[in-house]
Parts: sequence; structure tokens; C-alpha cells
Amino acid sequence: MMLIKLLKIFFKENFSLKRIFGFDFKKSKIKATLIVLAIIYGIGSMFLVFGFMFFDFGKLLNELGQSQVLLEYIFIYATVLSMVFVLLRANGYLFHYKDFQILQPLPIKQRQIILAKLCLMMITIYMSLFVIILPIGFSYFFHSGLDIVSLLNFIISLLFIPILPVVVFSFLSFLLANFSSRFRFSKIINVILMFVVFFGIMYFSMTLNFEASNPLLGQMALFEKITKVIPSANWFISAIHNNNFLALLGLVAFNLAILVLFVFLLEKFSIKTNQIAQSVKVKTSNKAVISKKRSILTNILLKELRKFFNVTIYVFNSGFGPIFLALSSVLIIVFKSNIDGFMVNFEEVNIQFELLLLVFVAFIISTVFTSAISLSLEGKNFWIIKSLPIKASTVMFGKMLFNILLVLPIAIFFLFIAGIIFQIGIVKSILMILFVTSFSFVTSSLGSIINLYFPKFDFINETEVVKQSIGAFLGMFGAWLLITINGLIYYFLQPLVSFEIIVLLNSLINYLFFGICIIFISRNAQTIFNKL
Amino acid sequence: MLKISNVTKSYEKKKRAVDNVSLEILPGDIYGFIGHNGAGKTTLLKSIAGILNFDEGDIRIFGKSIAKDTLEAKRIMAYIPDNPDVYESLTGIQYLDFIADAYDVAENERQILIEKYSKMFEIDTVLNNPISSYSHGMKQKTVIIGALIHNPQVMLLDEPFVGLDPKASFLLKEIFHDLCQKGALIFFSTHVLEVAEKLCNKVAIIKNGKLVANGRTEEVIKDKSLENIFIDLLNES
Repeated sequence: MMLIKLLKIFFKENFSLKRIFGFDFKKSKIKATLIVLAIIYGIGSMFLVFGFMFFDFGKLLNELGQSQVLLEYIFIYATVLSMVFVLLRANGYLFHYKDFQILQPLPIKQRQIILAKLCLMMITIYMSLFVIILPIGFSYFFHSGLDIVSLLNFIISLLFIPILPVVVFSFLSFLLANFSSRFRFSKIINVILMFVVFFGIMYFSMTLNFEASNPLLGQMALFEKITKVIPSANWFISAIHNNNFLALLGLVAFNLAILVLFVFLLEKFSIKTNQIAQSVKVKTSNKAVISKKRSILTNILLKELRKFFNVTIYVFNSGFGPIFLALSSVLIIVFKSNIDGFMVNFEEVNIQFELLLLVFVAFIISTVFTSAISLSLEGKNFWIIKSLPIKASTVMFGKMLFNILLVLPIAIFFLFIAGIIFQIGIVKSILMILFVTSFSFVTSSLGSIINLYFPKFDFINETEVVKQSIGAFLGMFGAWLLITINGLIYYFLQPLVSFEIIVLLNSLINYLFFGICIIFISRNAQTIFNKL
Repeated sequence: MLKISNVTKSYEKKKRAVDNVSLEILPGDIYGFIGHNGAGKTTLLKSIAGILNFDEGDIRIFGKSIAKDTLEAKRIMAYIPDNPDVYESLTGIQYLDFIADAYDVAENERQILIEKYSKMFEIDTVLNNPISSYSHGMKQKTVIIGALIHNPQVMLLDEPFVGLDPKASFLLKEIFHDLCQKGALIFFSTHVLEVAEKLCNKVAIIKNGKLVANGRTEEVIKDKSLENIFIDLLNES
């Protein structure tokens, strides 16, 4: 009974519309309509991309009599997504939950609290999996035929697949946090360790076969090998593909046993970890305190930088793109010949390599949407900025500048290396850098405007802002929309003018849009600030 | 009775935040707990409330050990933190219902108490609003009502008067007296020495984790003021 009550409370606290979107839906109908449209656009485009890819793939597999391979994909994707989710979130859900001080003095059994927290985490995982799994599941049942028993088996077994990765990666996440806490720059070390684990997972599970025409085919052989050695993967596939009840029973019993053991261990363990988190460590030092005068903009930049490295989910989410781009700068040197071979396929259908490079870099920039969330991340401290004699536009420009500095230098470096390795030519390279710069400028200013209109100051955990806020959502999908606009311009002008002219034109359009955004922020930021 | 016996709590096995503290607080006592910032007040209060564990010693609430009979001990206790962090997405009444559920308070009983206290603190008209729309003081009042909802025998409060308006502070003091007459005991930390001097029949002063004075208020302060005693004790090496 208390478990249900706790779940109700946690649900209201985590999933109320106001909590998710940062404002009252009833009070702003225009905002609400815009958000609903944006969500439909976002989820719709995800479904379309995945749906199209897997529908085609499913058709091919069905013709080969191997439609069960789609189930291997579902198993691996569900496992990997659960791993990544837990790696980033387990600490906040289980080991250092923010409402510990509210719950602990109450006469509620720790087991019930932990079960409720675990349920909440699992439900969030199921919701994230839904977007990825549904198109693959649809493709499987469409091509292999739908029957009620296998659909039921599918739903039941999907509930159990994330349990093993949740258990293993919860402890791994805790161990990483615990290990890094021993060092001076614990947060940075924790982030580095997480990146190592994350790129490790990517290396093992997302290996692409450059020679295959469909990247999904490249994953097939690897996924087959993985699923063969994991018993629960075999049970999952057999339960659905062969309607094997015993396999379903095996899957459910195996995971249930692990879950029970996990809850039993976690019950005591989580009290300890949460109690440790309650301790305030005040380190004293005899080092002289030196005060330094800096410009407001420098101060804002430094503040943004400190905030960035202080919030693990923030650095992980927005730092992934720049790190991936930096790694790619090295990888394109190492795998030049593979890429050359892969590109032949695109040249056959008249798609320029330089265009793909630009889309890749623009996509990476779109994942670095700090300017769309950094105002929200001020949270309960927003009053500090608001009460100081600083222009609202200066604050927003500082946040934009941080966003640009985070990704643009690496993007330029990547294009510079790519220009040399693939002998792109000076003029083309400069134009590409010009475009990427304009794209970075415009997305950062657009992000600032989004955050001004869709702030979310009321949050318990920064993850709510970085991952679940409307600012983050619009920041990323807004950049994708810009890629689409630039792409459409390319598509329509390509038969008429050269690649260089189109890139120049797109850059100029972006700079124009950037200018409009800057004027808008300069004129309106203060008024909007005052209303917040 | 709240009996704290030789309680020691260290952070990272280095600094002793609470060092061998023993105290006995009897039913009817309003016990003030005074100390400088970082003296160990909150740590001890959190240890009694079961939020923090402690390394040595024992804490018993009416005979029930907080370490061993945790749930039984918590059922007769209420804790109010220094900062009213509550579930902001809930409405005031939803929060109070949750707390009442946790203490298993019957519906008619909670209804009476919620009505009584919310009217007293003048927040009865906002209980259906989300807590996120409340002021600091209103949140504090909501937390206080939550703490009173099960007629606790032990009330632990960390800086309870911070953020309360003068009327609410007065009312809270009245509630303290009322509860104590019914046999409850109050143990609270404060920086406002005048409040402690006037309100508490007993006080304890903590310095760097150690109790440096405790007992009946008039015996501790003698012919001086509590402020003078406190400053003298702080200045002693």
C-alpha cells in the first residue's frame, strides 16, 4: 500500500506536465500548442527514421528467412540503452536521491522506498526504449506475421530485458562515482571514466561495417555473436519467434531472481550511500585568498565552464559531441582508405563527400545545445543574476559564447584535418569552415532565445533540464530543422550552381538569421528576464 | 524520554562532528540546542531523526533505539529540517496526506489536525495550490503541519524560526508549550539566543562537536545572559 503511495508521489514529482515542461499548460495555450507540435515533430521524425530503416531491413531479413535477427537488434538496443541510462542516472535514483531527507525520518521501510525508486527508474527506461523498440517491433511483426501469443511474449519479455543491465550498471555507476570521489577533481574524473565506459560500449556494440551498403548489416554479425553467448537473449528470441513458453519462463525467472537479490542488497546499501551524501565536507586551506577583477563576460564564461564540469550529466550530454568530433579527427587519418571505399557508394548516387562532412559536423553541433538550457540550469540561483546590475543580453551573450567555444574550435580543427587528408582544396575548405561557423553561431543564438521563452528553473535534478526539458528538446530539434532548411537549399540549387556557391549562400543565410537573433536578444532579453 | 548516550559521529573518520555527546531530554522539556556554525547541531539532530548513522553510542526514543527499532522510533517522532525542501509538484494537501499516510493517521483525525493548524498558520486557503507556488514561510508552515499531523511525542527541529513571520513564530512557541503539557518533548537548534533563553526550560551548548554546557536554563546562565555565556564558552580554548 505504501509502495503505491510512494509511487504516486514520485510520479507527480517527476512526471507532472509542469515539472517536465517548466510552466503551467493551462496558463499559456500558445506555448502548449507549440510544444505539442514540437513533440509530434520530434517523435514523428524519430519514428520515421527508425521505421524506414528497419522496415526495409526487416523485409530483406524476411526474404532471407532470418526475421529473428530483428529480435537480436531489439535485445541489444534495449540492453545498451538501459546500460547508458543507468550509468548516467542510477546515482540520482538510488544512491544519492535528493528527497532522502524527507523520506528518511518517516516510518517507511527502506525496501519500499527503494522498490518505488527502482520502479520509477524502470518506467523511465521503458519510456525511452519505446521510441527505439516500437519501429523495430513493428517491422518484425509486420513481416513475420502478428499473433497474439508472440505479441504477449514480446511485451512480457521486454519488461524483463533491462533488469540485468540495470543491476550491473547501477553498481558500476556507483563504483565509478565512488572511485572518482577520492580525487581532487572528482567530477571531471567521473566524467572521463563514464566516457571511457560509454565509448567502450559503443566500440563493442555499434561497430559499423564501412563496406556494407546498409550500416545495419555491419552490426548484424556482431549482434549475432553477442546474443549467442547471453542466455537471456536466446530465451527472448525463442520466446517470441518460436512461441516457446519455457524460454519465456526462463527469461522471467532469471531476471526476477536477479531483481530480488538486487533489491535485497540495495536496501541496506542505499541507506549508507545516501547518508554519506548528507555529509558536508568543508575543506580548509591556509592558502592566501586572492581576489581578481574580471570583465562581466569573462565571469559569465568562467561560471558557465565551472557549471559545465560540475554537472556530470551536462558535461556528458553536451561534451559527447566535441569529444566524438575530436576523436573523429584522428579516426579519419587512421581509417582514410576505409572511408574512401565507403564513399564510392555515395559518389555513385551523386552525393558529394564534402556535403556528408558538413552534415556530420552540423549534426554534432546540434547535440551541443548548452545555450538552450544554461539559463534553466541557474535554477533556484537565478535570483543572483537577476538581482545583479548586469544586462540580460550580456548574460545571454556569455552563455552563447560558451556554447560556441565548446564546439566550434574542434569543428574547425576537424574540417582542417579532413581538408588535408581528403585533399578538399583551400577555397572549399574555407567555405566549409565559414558554413560551420555560421551554423554554430545561429544554433547558439537560437538556443538562447528558446531558453528565454522556455526556461525550467524548478527542478530537483539537473538531468531534468539537460535531458527532459523543452529547451533541450527544441534546442536539438531546432538545429535539425536548420540542417533540413540548409539541405533543402542545397537540394534545389544543386542542379543550377556549384557546391561552393551553395555553401556560401547557406552561410550568408545563417549569418543573416544570426544577426536577427542577436538584435532580438539585445532588444528583448531584459523584458523577458524581468518577467521570469 | 529522548536519551542520547555517548554518541560520536565522524565524517570520513577524520573530523568528529559529534564527539561523545550524552543528553537526556524528558517529557515536557523544551530543550534548546545552541552552537556556532559547523558545531555539530544539525549532525546530531539528523542522527536522532535517523537521517544519519553514527559511529558510537546509542540514541533511544522512549526506549526505542533509532539504530535497531528504527521504524518504531520514527513513528513517535517528527523532524523539521533547517530548509523546507518538499515535493514542490504536490499541492499542500497532497503533501500533508502523504505524510499522514506514512504515519498511518486516520482520515478524520488528520482532517481535524490539518484544519486546525492550517487555519492557525493561515495557509488553509492555499493548501490546494502547488507547493512550488508557496513562499519560503508557507513551505515552512506546511512542513510544520506535516510534523504535527501525528501528534508526535518527540519533536526535533533544526532552526525552526527561520523564515517564519512573528505571528507564526509566536504560534509555534504556543504549540511547543501545548505539546509539552501533553507529555511530548521538544529538541531544537537555534541561533537566536533570546528565543532559547525565554522559551527553553533547558539548554545545551555544543562547541566543535562536544557539549560544553547543558542543564536547566537558569542554572546554565546563572546571573548572566545566554549570549554572554555562549560567547565566553566560544572564546575558551
